[in-house]
Amino acid sequence: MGLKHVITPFSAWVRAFTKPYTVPEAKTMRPGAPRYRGWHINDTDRCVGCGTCADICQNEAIDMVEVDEPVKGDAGLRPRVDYGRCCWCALCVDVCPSGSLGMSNEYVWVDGDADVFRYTPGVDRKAWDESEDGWRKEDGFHLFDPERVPMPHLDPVERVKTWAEVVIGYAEDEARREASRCVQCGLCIAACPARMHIPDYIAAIRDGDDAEAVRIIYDNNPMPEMCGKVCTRNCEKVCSIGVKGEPIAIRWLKRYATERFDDLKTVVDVGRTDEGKGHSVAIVGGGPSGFTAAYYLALRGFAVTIYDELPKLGGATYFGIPKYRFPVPSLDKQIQLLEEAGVRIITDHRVEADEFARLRSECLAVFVGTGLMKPYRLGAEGEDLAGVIFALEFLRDYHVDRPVEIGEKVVVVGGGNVAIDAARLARRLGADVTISYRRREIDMPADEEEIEDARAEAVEVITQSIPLRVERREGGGLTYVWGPAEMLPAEGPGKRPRPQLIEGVEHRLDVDRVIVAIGQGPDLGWMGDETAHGVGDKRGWISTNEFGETAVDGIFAGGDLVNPVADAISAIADGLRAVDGIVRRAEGK
Amino acid sequence: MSSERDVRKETRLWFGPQHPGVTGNMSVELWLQGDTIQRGITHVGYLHRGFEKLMERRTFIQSFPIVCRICVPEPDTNEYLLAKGLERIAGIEDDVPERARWIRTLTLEMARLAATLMVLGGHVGSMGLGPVPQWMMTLRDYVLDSFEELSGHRIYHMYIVYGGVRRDLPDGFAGRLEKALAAIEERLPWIDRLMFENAVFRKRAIGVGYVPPEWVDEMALSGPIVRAMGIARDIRKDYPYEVYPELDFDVITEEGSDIFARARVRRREIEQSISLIRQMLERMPKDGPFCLTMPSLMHWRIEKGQTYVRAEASRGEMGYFVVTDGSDKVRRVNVRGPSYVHGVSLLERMLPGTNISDLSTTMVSLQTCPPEIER
Amino acid sequence: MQRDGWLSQEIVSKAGLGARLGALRSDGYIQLTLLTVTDWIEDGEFEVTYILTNPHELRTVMLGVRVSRDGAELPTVSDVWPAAVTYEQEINEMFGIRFPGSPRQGVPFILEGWKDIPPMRRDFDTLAYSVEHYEDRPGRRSVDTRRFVGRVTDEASYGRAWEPKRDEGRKRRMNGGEGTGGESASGEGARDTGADVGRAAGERTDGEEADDE
Repeated sequence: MGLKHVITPFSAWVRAFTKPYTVPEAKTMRPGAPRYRGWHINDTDRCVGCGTCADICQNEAIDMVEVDEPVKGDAGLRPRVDYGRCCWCALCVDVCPSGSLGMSNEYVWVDGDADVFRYTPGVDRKAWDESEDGWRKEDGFHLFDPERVPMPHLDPVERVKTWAEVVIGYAEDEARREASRCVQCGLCIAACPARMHIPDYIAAIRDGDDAEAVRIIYDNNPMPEMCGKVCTRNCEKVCSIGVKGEPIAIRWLKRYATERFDDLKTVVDVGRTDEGKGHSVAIVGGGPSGFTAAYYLALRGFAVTIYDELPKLGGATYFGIPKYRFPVPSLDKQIQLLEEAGVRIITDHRVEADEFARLRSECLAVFVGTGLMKPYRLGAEGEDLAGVIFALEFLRDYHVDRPVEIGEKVVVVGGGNVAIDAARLARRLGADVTISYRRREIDMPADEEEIEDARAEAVEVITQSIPLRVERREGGGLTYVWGPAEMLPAEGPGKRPRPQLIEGVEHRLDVDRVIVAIGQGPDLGWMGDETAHGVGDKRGWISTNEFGETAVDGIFAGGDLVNPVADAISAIADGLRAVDGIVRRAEGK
Repeated sequence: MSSERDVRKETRLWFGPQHPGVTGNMSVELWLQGDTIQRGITHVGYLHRGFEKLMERRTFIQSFPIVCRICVPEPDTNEYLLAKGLERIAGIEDDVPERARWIRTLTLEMARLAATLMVLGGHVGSMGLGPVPQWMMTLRDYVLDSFEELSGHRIYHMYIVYGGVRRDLPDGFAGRLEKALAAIEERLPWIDRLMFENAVFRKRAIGVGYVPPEWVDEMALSGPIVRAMGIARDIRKDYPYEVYPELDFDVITEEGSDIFARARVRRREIEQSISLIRQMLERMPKDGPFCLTMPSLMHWRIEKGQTYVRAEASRGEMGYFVVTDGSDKVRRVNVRGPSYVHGVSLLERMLPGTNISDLSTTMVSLQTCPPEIER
Repeated sequence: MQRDGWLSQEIVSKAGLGARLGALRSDGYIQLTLLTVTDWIEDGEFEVTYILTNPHELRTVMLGVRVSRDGAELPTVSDVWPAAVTYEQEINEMFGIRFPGSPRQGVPFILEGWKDIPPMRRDFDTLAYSVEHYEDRPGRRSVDTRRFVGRVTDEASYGRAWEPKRDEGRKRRMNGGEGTGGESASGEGARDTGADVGRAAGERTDGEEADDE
């Protein structure tokens, strides 16, 4: 150590003549970096109130508060942040399924009142609401996988040669992975007509408890394997993950859980209670609505008998849905539980007016769920020619093992699920199939997946085609004559665009069969005209109250007869409603 | 404790917890005879937030935001070690994308740089020299600005997460970080002039705060303390992790094992960090995913297992002992901070016979970080 | 890559602990990197883990020894590794394991004036403790989306209240500030939800007027 060590430090004095590091304008706020995590903002239009932000916050800084009434797909709740607890980790932003929650890059907020530091972003207006910078949810970092685990299907070219189920089903690890994507928000519950406990059974599957999942499902759905294979999935349409990503595969998870067990009796407890002891109920029609009513009434101790005119219960899910979508053994599994619950099943038996009257007098209540069995006619010349058949009858005959002969070339008229089912069935019988629908493809009521699957199986789809007439061909066979249509704009709110025939142009298609699938209507004639007119309106449609009661005392109804939506889960919901109603009736209400 | 202690002549002095010469909040209970320390006991507990217990009640993703708070100067090492430990047990550590590994290492080096800058200033700050700590805090501030740009926050970044990092490098980040590095390099000769060629510092640092090399293995010492003894131990070389194997650097050692040597080690490690950061900015893959996508981090369950992961923090060996039990929460996380030994056992062992005016400078040279002693 | 290759794990009985430690030390594992405890409450045991490092061959071993949770005692290693005094002091404070002969046993290290059970034990419920000793901010009230959506839509449709079959999804306590509900941290092992469920149906206030709506 020498003199140099004493003197050298003084060279720092040169800093007195250089620019200081300090930023002198303390009042000029230094803006936060573009990604700074500051005060919260929320796009309340996009927010669906799922509450996932509140769930992930490890400081419990977020409350969900009621802002609006819930509607389908929006819980009406919005997050309220308490900055006394928030640590600005932005996990709430990164997890937000709809991407509505964000953070501005503002970081200065001075107020004398401590209570203002808890506010509902987007609802309580703040100066930084329009901030463009700040932390936002971005691609590349995901707290749950926005993509669904893909569901393997059979190869389309191969599968038309068989009746094997087209959908292969999830393996165990695939199901667990898919189930763990669910954030348990519960928006799906409101969308499901039967109010199934969807987040609960998904959580059970995720945690590896498939038996528990099946039990939860069976709490309010006695045909889950059917739903798991063919449901219209209203739930998936409102899934909060589906806002920005792919919705949870709720239907496939239900399918997975029920398929895990060959014998559901080992999993579901069909113990009966005494609630309905001493009362008997007759159920006419073994479709989903009657099936549901039968099962839950039987569990509550009622003496239930269920009648169906076909050889097996299931209604349209038995004779209407093709077996490559919903095989018979699946249906049998569910019927077994019905038997186990003590329901008396009488099939191949059509109830007529006399018997119906007798049942009405003997039983506490009767439930009518006979569905829509009268197909609409084509409404064109030549509709009575041999070879013009109804899709409903075609499907039913095939499923009850009556012989069907459709030749080599077929046209299916219609665009709903029945049309698609008939078309794909015809393909498997070896025919070339064309579908003729009078509106555009996006107007087709059938499931998009179904249309795609049909196309993959080489079904040709002709849209905007109006049937003109059917002619007999020389040497056998038919000719289907159709004209092109242009779409006119909708006439008003809630109406669809109308197809208008373009005159003067005709197309001809030579076929062996014309399969008519343009819808079906109710037929209540079997219950006797007087009763039918009391129960249903002049066209046969029945209306019920919130307990499934019709205008006639003691007659309950549900399913397609009542429900314009006409899908299985709505029918099941109708059955549940009727169960409540009949239980109340037994209690004297 | 010598047997000639006459407790009647001893003053008991409580040094800390709010003391400008203490690195953080801890106190040392001293028994002095005159100004010679006879004995010292470290007292901690002012910063106990109970992280390890908190993590047992939180799912993995909920534990992630809290670990950075275990160490203020260098939070990223904590985030990295928790992520690494859980990734290892879950078996996904090889799935972490390449770019993510580079960005993680960049973040770790930036954190080491920021922490080393602060403690280097503290060396002379504890002696009363004003300019150098102020410069160091300014330069650290520039690094914190880069962190703010990269991760959204200046100090508690919450950036390194299971599977990678949370966001990619922003556009132009490399250029702005380079400006910060250039500012640091510009200052380094000045630091040498004011610090290492300063008579006062030299008098008070050379030969002061000696740690005998025999204690290294007995007490599991690590970091600059060990390297200042001439022992070349560096976890980045000994147990290479992330992309350190692909980077070009040597282990820095000095001789003397006193405050001066440790300050020299840290001074040279600043240059080393700058060089490493530059290497990484240049060589990292230009694109690619920066985080693994798992089915759900909210409902992640990890099978039963345990592991110990370690990293070279600016202070020494930081390690996480992680135990999982098959549920969605950790069973046990034990944060092994280097200061657990340096700040308690080592300090207490070094003190007897030293002068009280050297206490603060010694503590700073050990770079004790009280939050990681008590978590 | 930092690989498990340098890390190994061993279990030893309490009786064999001293010998094993000595053998490892002779083998070059001369550094005590960490001394820690894991509470396996469902087994009724603590697992005390000694993490020893061999700095010359760069290997590490996690040596675990199981002791009963009640009256747990282990021989001290502070004569060999001076830094162990602190580890053993903290373990004594946090878990209640005694290391006879270790200085500073019973001397508080981190806590001050602590009168409850050693807090790192899993039967110590931090949530219950904080609910008992501290106040919540008034006016905290959160609505569970599932119940809210289910209830409101059901009243509109057919009066049947929807109740979840399984309540694991919403783990927040602030639903009603009711403190512990459901499973608590008192040792449920792997399926432990950790005493963090305070459920209320739909919405509840915490006993005070909701003064912020």
